[in-house]
Amino acid sequence: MKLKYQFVIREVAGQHVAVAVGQDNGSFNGMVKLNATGAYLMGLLNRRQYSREELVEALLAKYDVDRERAVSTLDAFLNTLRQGELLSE
Amino acid sequence: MKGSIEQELRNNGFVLMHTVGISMRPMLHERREQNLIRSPQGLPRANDVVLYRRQNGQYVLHRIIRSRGGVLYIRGDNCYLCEKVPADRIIGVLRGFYRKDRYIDCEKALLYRGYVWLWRLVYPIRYLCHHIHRGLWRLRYRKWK
Repeated sequence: MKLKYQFVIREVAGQHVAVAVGQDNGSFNGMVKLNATGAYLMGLLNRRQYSREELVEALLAKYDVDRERAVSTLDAFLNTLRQGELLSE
Repeated sequence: MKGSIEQELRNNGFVLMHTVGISMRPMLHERREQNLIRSPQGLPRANDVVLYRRQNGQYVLHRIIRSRGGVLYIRGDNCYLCEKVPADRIIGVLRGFYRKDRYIDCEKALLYRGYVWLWRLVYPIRYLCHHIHRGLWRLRYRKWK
């Protein structure tokens, strides 16, 4: 899976925010508010295509959490992206 | 996840967005800079770039040229006509923008302030050049018609 648009992630007033950039974002003009984990995952997906398993491994490597929690966090994040129509499978 | 600009400004006090169109060139380019808009604190001043909504629902990000009796005269940097907007229609004020990896602060950056000063100073020349160019283009079009 990967992001439909190219994003730039900024930190504004202590809040991570992603904004679509480039000419391919004609249908998306807005910002995505993120927490630190969301910003990390968004940064990964912004670079290249990732499988769900790769993202789980990336979360486990970065944060001191068990697999179950990493999976639930990732799924919640991916669902939010799907609802916003930002993810292509 | 989705909310209007007004809603985001109320909730967060800021929005980060890009612009569409050429009316703020050469400062802002279509979908290139990420503009940091904050809720207005008091009455915006001349030279501030403000966000407002036209009656047709279109959001506009243009510069205040002058303010008189609660009415703001607003014009895009690449435009030649002013629009009269009541001050209470202002939704937000541009506080800065990101261009590539650089943040340009509209309140502090000297280069930005220099740009505003220079761009407004040469407005009569730009206005003249624009109308001469437009007149020549019309003459040429008429000749070949």
